[in-house]
Order: sequence, then structure tokens, then C-alpha cells
Amino acid sequence: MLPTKPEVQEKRGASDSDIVMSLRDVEVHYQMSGGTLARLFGGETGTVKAVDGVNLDLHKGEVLGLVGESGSGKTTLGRALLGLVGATKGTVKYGDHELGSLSDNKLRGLRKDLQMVFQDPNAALNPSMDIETAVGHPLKIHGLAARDELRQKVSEALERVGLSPAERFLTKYPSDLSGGQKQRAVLARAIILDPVLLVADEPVSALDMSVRAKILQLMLDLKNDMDLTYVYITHDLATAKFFCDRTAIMYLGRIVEIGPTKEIFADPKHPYTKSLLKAIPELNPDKEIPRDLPRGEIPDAASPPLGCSFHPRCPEAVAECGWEARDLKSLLEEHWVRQDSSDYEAERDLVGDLDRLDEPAKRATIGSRADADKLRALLERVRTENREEPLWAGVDQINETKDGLEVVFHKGYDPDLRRSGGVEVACVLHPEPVTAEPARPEDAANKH
Amino acid sequence: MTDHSEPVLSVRDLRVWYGTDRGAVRAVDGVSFDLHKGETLGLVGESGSGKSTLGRGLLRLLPEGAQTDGEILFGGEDLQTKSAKELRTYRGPELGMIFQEPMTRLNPLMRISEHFEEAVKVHAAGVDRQEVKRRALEVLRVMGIPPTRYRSYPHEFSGGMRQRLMIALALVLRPSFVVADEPTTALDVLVEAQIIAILHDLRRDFDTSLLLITHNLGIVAEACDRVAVMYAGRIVEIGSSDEVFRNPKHPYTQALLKSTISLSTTGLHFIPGAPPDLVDPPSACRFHPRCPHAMEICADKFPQPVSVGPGHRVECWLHGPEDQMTEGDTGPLEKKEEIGVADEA
Repeated sequence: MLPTKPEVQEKRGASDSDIVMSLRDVEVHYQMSGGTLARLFGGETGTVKAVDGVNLDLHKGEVLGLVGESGSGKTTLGRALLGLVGATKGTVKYGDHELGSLSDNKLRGLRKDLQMVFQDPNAALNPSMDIETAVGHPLKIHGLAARDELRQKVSEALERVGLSPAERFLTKYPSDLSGGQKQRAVLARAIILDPVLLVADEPVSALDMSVRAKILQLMLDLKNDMDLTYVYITHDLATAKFFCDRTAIMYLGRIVEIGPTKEIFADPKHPYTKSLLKAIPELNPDKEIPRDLPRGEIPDAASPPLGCSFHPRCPEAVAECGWEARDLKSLLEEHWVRQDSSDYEAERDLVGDLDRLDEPAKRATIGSRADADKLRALLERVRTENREEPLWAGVDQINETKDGLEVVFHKGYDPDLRRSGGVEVACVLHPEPVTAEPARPEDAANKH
Repeated sequence: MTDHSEPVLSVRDLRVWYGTDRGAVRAVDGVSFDLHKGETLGLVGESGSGKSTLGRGLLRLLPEGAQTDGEILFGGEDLQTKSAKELRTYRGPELGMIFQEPMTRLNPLMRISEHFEEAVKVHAAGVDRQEVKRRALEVLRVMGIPPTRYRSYPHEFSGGMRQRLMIALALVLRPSFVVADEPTTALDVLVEAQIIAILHDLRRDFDTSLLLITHNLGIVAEACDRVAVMYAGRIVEIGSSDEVFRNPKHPYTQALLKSTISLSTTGLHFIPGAPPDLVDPPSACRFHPRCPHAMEICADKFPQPVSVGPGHRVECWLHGPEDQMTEGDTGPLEKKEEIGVADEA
């Protein structure tokens, strides 16, 4: 791990004194252990790196967006911010408190300041609890109000989120409310303790389009009235663009691009950010369906790609991005999608055991030595099919060995966040293409 | 456009309602439209507008207890009059459905090959295994699934791949009409774009007519030839995507487009109030309590379907027909019920 580095300085002149929360090298890793038998006999175990080395400072009054697909680690990071999941490494500091070192009791005290809003208001509200009890629950748990005062405070909170007149809602149950009204009740519960930080995990994704704007407007109003700081977790770039001051794009447990929202959307640098922006369907009938989007899906976090995690899908990838055996398998499979059945069967026999390409390895062996010439010819056919394919830039040698035809891949790098213009990007191409020795040389052992 | 040919599907005054303790829920309340060969029609609307019920109703896949009325003419035959047994011969070779959650529709204990064998055996008896495999691999290829995965189990596929599988299964018998109900809602944006591209290509690859149900207007703008906007069980506007997005005529369509947050959004707009209760909907035009342009007639008389351009139809008194309105009708609606903050969604 590198020493911590200074955050991007905000244009509005953010200083250390207005930092609400500070994350350093935060990792949340989950051990996967098979059953007892698997452990005894050395079966499959591994680590899922849900959050893998995140540095972040949250400034007072800002809205920070954590944007990414499912499996990017955005929700886990949001929970780590609140101490709802413990960081397995690194520190999460709120003021002078380091969340990881606090007892459950002390942490509970801090929860008054740190609140969360969940995606699905149906799951966030107890169906057998009326709205008064649900919204007043935090006050009761923390022993801050009872009886008349409790009801008074609940009424105030309800009015504040637009559930007014409050008397109409106090005795209602969640099933009596619409989706938007439920999310308002969830917001009322989150603000009733007058928190400092609100982590909102996809707060509008489950709502209809015409309701989303209302809830976002409410959140903006609450933020201004109550001087709140928001972390807005979403997969929806359109709302992030409108709602966030600063945006962090996450991919497979890492922040791959972070900076002022304006700059990220006006001039996206990471190929992943660019792809996301291109993929959003727009209300413009002239816009064609984008065809040049990344192939495949977000990879398995238990066994991430070597080098940059995005390289297997990246349309801009170069030799240094971390090409490996599994990429060759994907390429062959892609090729076979285009082949006739008979050609496929023949080629499939030639290549032999595909499981040999399932490991993250810098050398990949296919077929048998006797077929070396035919295998070379096959690879050449695949290459000529699509000369734009970035994988070939990452192939250093193709050798005959006693086991078959061996493909040797170029050394790759796992890029760290680096300054590029007003943002930070984790890509070997930024701020300028790296071919020498960037921060984090790829290391197969370390990745596993 | 294929407007001059005989439509594949012709729906006339379709109604679907469910009985509840409080009365009948009129989920689909008099819907008529045509769908032509190879055409993609986007069906948009908010939750509770009746769009999913309409999609299922067209395939006669409604739960027990649902009552229906009206005509669903498919190749000249009214599906409404068909027995369960007759309908089975339509499903697969003629009618197909793609659902939102692919994982709940695949059997975790069956290999992909077995899913295809079953689908073909049930709906097209007498096809041997080799032929099933040939057909399956062909459609899987179009979906971008490599032949190496034919013997895999559903759990070995990612979410996007599973949705491709579902589409492949729905299309293996080459139905001429397919309903896709929110097929990408459970997927991430990059995978969603991949699936939308596949659906968009269906007409080229399979000559399929598609009803694409979605709440995402952007998907409709990019992928559909025509769009139907649903509100409270009725299609309030229908036309080519080009026309409707460039020149929306119904105040609800206008408000829906305006309230959608996109990359070019600079301010928030919303539709006041909430969608109506379908047991006791507002009188006359269902949208009038929320409509900024509501007139006296809107609370009084049902709006008629009015043509406002080639293939562009709207149900709104703002667009006439004028010969059915008197002078007093067009004044702004006076006794409009107040929408309280509490009624906001």
C-alpha cells in the first residue's frame, strides 16, 4: 500500500477543518470459506474484496456521489462509512473517533450523527409499526424524548418531509402509504435526530420517474435547512450529475475516478466512466443505440482480473493493462459465437481443455504440441477477424512447449488514482500513458 | 414503416379488472391499438398504470380472478375466445414472453440444453435432439452466448447472460409476437444497453413484433418505433417515437417527459399529486385533477381518441373534437379539487 495522499483540493477552497469524515486505505474483505470439509482438504477458499483500498475525505455540506454498477462496492463502502460493516484494514475517522476502534456502545452514540436511507422503503419500514412509532423509534432508542414531546418531534419531522398534516399520518401503517410517501417517512426517521451525515443508498431508484424528482428536491431542501452532508449512492449517472457536488466512480471495490461532478461529466477520463455515460438511454429519438460499449459484465470480486480490473472490457486497453489467460478464453468464446457449428466443433477439439485458461496466469497454454501449427493458424484467424482487439497488444510471445502452444502476456500494472486535470483517475493512460514503472506493478500473488 | 400491411395484433377495447373488497380495480380500461410485423412498440407508464396487466392480458397470462372484455385479434383470430388448450398451441411458436427476473424463470437444476429441449418438446413435438441443439445454438449465437456454455447450469451465468438466455428461450420457436416486461430493469446500465441492442435487432434477426414494457422513457426513445403512454388503465397517447418525444400532445406525456431526470436535466420538475385509485378513479378524464390545462369539460365528459398527425392519436379535450364541445366547456376548470401536500406521492 502506498502512503496516503492528499485529496483533490476543492475549487471552493475546502480545508482540513471542514472535513466531516476521513477514510484512509479502507478495505472491506470477506473471507469465503467453503464448508468444514473444504477447509480440511484444502478446498476452495478465497477473499472477496468488496472495498479494496479507498481514500476519501467528506467535506461539510457537500453531496458526494458514489456511482457504480452492482458489485462495485458502493453499498459496502457506504455502510463502512457508518460503521455498519467494519473495515478489515485502514481507518474510518469521524471527527476524532476512529469507528473501527469503538465499542458497540460508543458507536451507537455516534449513530445520532450518522444516518442512513435505504433503497427500498418497503423493506426499511416495519409493516406492523405505525408511522409515529417508526419515525419516533430513534428518539426512543437514544432515550431523547418520550410521550408528548416524542409525538411533538415526530409531527415536526413529518411536516418537514411533506407528510402534512402530520396527524393524518401518525396512525397510518406503511401499507397505507404510496412509495414516495414511504420514502418520505424513511427520511423523517433519518433526520429526526438532527444528524450530521446522511448516507442515502439508491433513495429514489425504486420510485417512479415522476416521484424521483420530488424526493430529490426534498433531500436538497433538507440539506439546506439542516446543514447536512450527503453521500449519495447510485447506479444512475443522470441523478448523480444533477444532485452531487463531487462524484466518485467505483469499479470492483476501487474508486477509479473522482472529482468535481461538473468536470467528471464534461470531460470523463477513465474509459469506464466514458462507457457509462455513453450507455445511458436518453430522451432523444435521434440518438442511436450505442454499439461500441464494453463487452461482458463486472467480474467476480473473488477472483478479479490481473492488472486493472476493467481491462477485459476496456475499449481503450493497451499492452500494460494486465492481459492474462482468462482473457484469451473469453476471446476464443467470442470468436466461437461467430463460427458455424462444424467449424466450432473442429476448433474446440483443437484447443482442448478450456479449464486450463481459468486461472489468473500470465502464460496460457492451449491444445497439444502436435497441433502447434494449426493452433497458430487459429489464433491468426481470430486476430484477423478483429484487428482492433486490444488483447493482442498484450501478447509478448507465442511459443511451442511440450504441453501445447503457449501464449505469454505482457507485464501489466494495477493503476493507482493519480491527478489528471481537476480529477483523479486510476488508469494507465492518465495523466499520460505509462509504459515504465507506475505505482503498483501487477502481482498475481498479491491479487489473490 | 409497415403501416399498410395487415397488423399482426389488433386490440379492440380491451378491459381487465379484478374484484376486491372495495370494488372492481379497473387495471386496463378500454385499450385499442394495432401492432405490425417486425414493429417494436414501447409501452410506458408509472407503476399502477396497468401496463404489465395489459402485457399479460394480451398473452392471456392473467392470474385467476381477472375478468376481461374486448378483442385481441391475432392473425385474424380472437385470442379471447380460445380455450386453455388452444392457447397452448399459440405459446412458443406464435406468442412469447420475456420477464424481468431471469433467475426466477430458469430451473436451477436443469442445464441450458435441457431448458431448450423442454421448450421445443412441449411446443413443437417431433423435433429430435440434434435439431433442438442446432436451433438452440443458432439463437444463442444471435444472443452472444458462446456454444461452449450449452451444457452449463443457470447459476454459472451472470445476470446479463441469464437475460440473454431467457430471450433465446422465448425466441427459439420464432414467435411472431413477444411481450417483454421490464426486461432490463434488474440489470446494470452497461448490460442494459447490450440487451436493448439485442431487442432492437429482433426485427432484423427474427421478424418479431415486440411490445416492450418499461418505465424508462430513454429506452423507448432509442429502441422503439412507436410508443404508447398509459395512464390509469388507458392509452392516452400513441404515435411514432419520433413524433411523441419531439412533439408530445397529451399533458401527461409532456409532464412525464419533463419530470424525467436525464443527463441534460438542470432543474427538477414534477407532476403534482399522485396516480389515481383505480377502484374509484376521477370522473371523465382520469388525469384532470393533476392537469395544468384542465377545462370544465375534462371533469365532465370522457375524452375521445383524436388524431393529431399520421399515426399519432391522443385522448385529450385540448385537441378536440371541437364539434362535441360547447363554449362553456373550454373554460378553466373551476371546482378542481385541491391537491393537498399529503396526497403527494
